[in-house]
Amino acid sequence: MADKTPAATRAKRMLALLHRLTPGTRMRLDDLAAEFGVGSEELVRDLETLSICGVEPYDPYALVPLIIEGGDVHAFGELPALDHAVRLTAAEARALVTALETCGSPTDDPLPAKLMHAAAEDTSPEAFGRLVRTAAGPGGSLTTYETLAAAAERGEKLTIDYWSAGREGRSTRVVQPYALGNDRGVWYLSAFCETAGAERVFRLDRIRAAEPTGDTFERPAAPVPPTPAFTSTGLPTAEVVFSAEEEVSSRDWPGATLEPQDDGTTLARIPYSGSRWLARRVAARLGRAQVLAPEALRDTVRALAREMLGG
Amino acid sequence: MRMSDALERLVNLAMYFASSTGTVTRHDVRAHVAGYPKEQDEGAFLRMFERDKDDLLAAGLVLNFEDVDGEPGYRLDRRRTYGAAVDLTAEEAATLRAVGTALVADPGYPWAEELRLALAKLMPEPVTGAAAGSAVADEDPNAQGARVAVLSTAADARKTVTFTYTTSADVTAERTVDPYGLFLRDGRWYLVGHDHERGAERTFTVSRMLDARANAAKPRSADFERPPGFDVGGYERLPFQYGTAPCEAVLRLTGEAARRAPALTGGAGVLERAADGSFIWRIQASGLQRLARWLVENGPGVELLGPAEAVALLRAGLQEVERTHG
Repeated sequence: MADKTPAATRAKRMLALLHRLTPGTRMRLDDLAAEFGVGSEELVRDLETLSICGVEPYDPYALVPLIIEGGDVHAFGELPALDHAVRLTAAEARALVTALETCGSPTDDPLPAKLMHAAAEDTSPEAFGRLVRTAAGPGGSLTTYETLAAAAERGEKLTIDYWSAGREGRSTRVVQPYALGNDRGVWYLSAFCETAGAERVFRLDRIRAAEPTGDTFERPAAPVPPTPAFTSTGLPTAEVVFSAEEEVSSRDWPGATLEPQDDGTTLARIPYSGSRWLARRVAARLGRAQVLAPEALRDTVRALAREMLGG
Repeated sequence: MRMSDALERLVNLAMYFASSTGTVTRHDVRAHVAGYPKEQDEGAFLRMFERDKDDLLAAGLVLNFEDVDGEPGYRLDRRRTYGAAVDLTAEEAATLRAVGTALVADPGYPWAEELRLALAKLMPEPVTGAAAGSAVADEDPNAQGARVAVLSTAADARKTVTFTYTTSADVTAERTVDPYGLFLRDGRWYLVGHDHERGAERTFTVSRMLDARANAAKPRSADFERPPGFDVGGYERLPFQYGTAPCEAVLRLTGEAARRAPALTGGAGVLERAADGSFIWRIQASGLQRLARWLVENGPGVELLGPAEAVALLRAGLQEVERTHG
């Protein structure tokens, strides 16, 4: 089948591919295809083209030395030229900076600055940050992200100091970090919480500290990233009625079923994991939302309002 | 011409520049680089060479231009072409693998291809298989990602864009905008730019665009200048900052809210730390109802000190909550 990817785009990919062809290396074709986001057949076409590229006299000693055999790519000699990685283009550098910004990295963080040593001279994270923002303001912690990502890779347990808006407040837990996931700009960690004896999802911006314990654990074969972070499976459901003047959308109430009523109100059945969390959201409607059931949640909402009134 | 011919020629040309120790001319290229048709006339060759050279510059090669006896000559600038090796800690490498794996598969993230190439150049091993996922945009992420890609390319090149836009009042019209910058907030991408019809800066929700196209005329020249000192961060708003009656709100942040103050405030307004570790936060608010709601949702430890009208509104609302749940 004809490949419709522009030659310029494929040329960028091929120059990046050259960087992978260190003499003596053998890589799985499937890994390379996954890395470049292409099918194996397309990658093979690129590699076959690369293997006939080079410099004069275009004999076997002056061509890109690679062979494809048994699902592997084998680089068996020195490249005839371009044997260093080409600097990141401005667009590639921006992609890195914006990606790290989603993890809580401010543009003046050491890691983006370090990475810019591999980028074109006229690139600066601060300049990117003035034109594109992928995180809402400062306050994230790349250090936390780094600790969690490394522990999840190594299969190493962590002790985390976690703050929850719910009843538990601040707690110290030992967790087995499985996977990281971004949902609407917020990063979460899915983990087995040994303290709770169950799988839990933790917001990264509420992890005050994370420290590897040195103990390892057996990871699930295919850990599922927490995206979307909210799952309603197995959660209790609250019945909440919203007044006619209150705009209600499923986007604001993940997992809820919304039933418009004849009188203009909306009856919502909302799954929830923390009653304090839901109580806050209901109280924030300042009288335009009322919990019908369960009774314990009504009590929590009332107590919260009283507490905020100073009662 | 087959695609592989063009690719082969481009890679050969890149290698020729890289292997040449001196300055090379276009005639040197024609004589020594495989892939340029011998039967091609001079004009066609020069056009092909110029396109190839532009493609290589876009891929990251840096060429210095020198005059060789009245003819343009080219020399690869090795220092500016080759990147310095970056020594990553295990944690930094794990971070790049996780965020890379997550975002390149996220249709709402518009620079997946560029991120792949960046990681391929930086990382010693192929980046695959990290346990991470991402959904930065939740409303039609494919459309948002595709439109942001168009808008950001246009913003980079300073080309005017046109799109069909439906406002929150459900009015649909075509808009012509000079795109200045983009930001992502709570699952939605936003475009900040100069709206030609309104003659003023506006912020547009990308998910409300039905399409987006950049001005294709004169692709090498910019259509507009960005205002000096433009910073898209200045256009992000907290939920209570949308409205027409601005006033200054004063809040006190204590306990956990004080610790989270930078994240809670999003860098907006003025934060002053008190001796007891709490913060006084002065912030412009435009919707008092939304301010009161935000405060309740983001507590505990968020207290409203003023304006008095907002404090009264909050108290009345909480009293109603207490009454309806009594």
